[in-house]
Amino acid sequence: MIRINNNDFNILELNKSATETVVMIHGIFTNLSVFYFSVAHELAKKYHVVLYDLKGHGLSETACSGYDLQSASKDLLGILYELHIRKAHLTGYSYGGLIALYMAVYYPETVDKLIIIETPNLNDGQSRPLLEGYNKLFLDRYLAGLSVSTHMIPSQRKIDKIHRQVQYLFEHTTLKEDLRRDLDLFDKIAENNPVTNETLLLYATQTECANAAAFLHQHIKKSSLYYGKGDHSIPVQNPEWLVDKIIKFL
Amino acid sequence: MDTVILNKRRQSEIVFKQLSKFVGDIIGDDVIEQIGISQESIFTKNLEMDSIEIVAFAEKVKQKYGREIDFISWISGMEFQKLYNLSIGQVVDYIVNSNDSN
Repeated sequence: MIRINNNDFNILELNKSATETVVMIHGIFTNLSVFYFSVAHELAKKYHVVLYDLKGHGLSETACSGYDLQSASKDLLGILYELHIRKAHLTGYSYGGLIALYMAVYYPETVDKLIIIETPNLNDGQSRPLLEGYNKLFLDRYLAGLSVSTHMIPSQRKIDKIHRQVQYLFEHTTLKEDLRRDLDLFDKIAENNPVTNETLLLYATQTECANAAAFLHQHIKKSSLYYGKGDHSIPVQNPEWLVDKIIKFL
Repeated sequence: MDTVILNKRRQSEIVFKQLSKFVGDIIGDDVIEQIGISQESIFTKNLEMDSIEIVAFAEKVKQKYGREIDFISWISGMEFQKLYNLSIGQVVDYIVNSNDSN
């Protein structure tokens, strides 16, 4: 655990002796394990890999506020500072990709190459159920879909735990308002194409974020876009494809 | 031959005790008392551990046995379904057998 901005963060480092660092940022309502068992250790054969749980996720501490992209980026800057990393490749999955993009726009001096996996545009309508707050039925449907796509059936204790965690974040923190505050990130990216990093866009063949993929490809000059077999759970379904693409890109 | 088998059984017991302690540290000794733990316990099912708890467990195993075995390569090489059905006994066997071959 490392204390950053008055919050405890669960951080894991792999292959600390490597010269280049890859930071991996998970999505909302998941945790660093989405990368741990597959992608991270393959990348760690060559790179220093930093995994961390976002605020209020995994084993990191939950705070009442600070779930917007600016706060999340400041948390990440604090982690980089604490670990003495001046510049890193950022890999962001889903919402984590928005944090990576935000870092590239506002703190470009800290970002080397960008890898964006299945990242949505919060403002394109697809993410509306997420922005409307805790919805038991929606979450049950989401978890049921996740079980089908990952072939895993969570126990009732696990399902209850996820419900409690999501409900708490929506009803007792500023998460909902914070998510709404960041709807304009893609507009900012379109305004004057501020992301100049070499960027790898990795999306699933059954993605629900195809518009976001095309948008980012259009507005990030040095970007390449690939589609791999799977859906939004592609880090679990098809990690070999992700590893192959990322290693070739880096 | 009997001595070898006995030694292996003893090693398994020691490793199982150590791994059970790791699980207790992560999900709570009170939970273990409630649900029980055995070599057959499957992490995700019987112990109802979620992914981040299994990561914490893997890190503890790596810290304890990392010099002797490449636990992470072993576990990372598994298909997700196999990982999902992993039992504590399989981890015990892997550690004991790896120690034998070292």
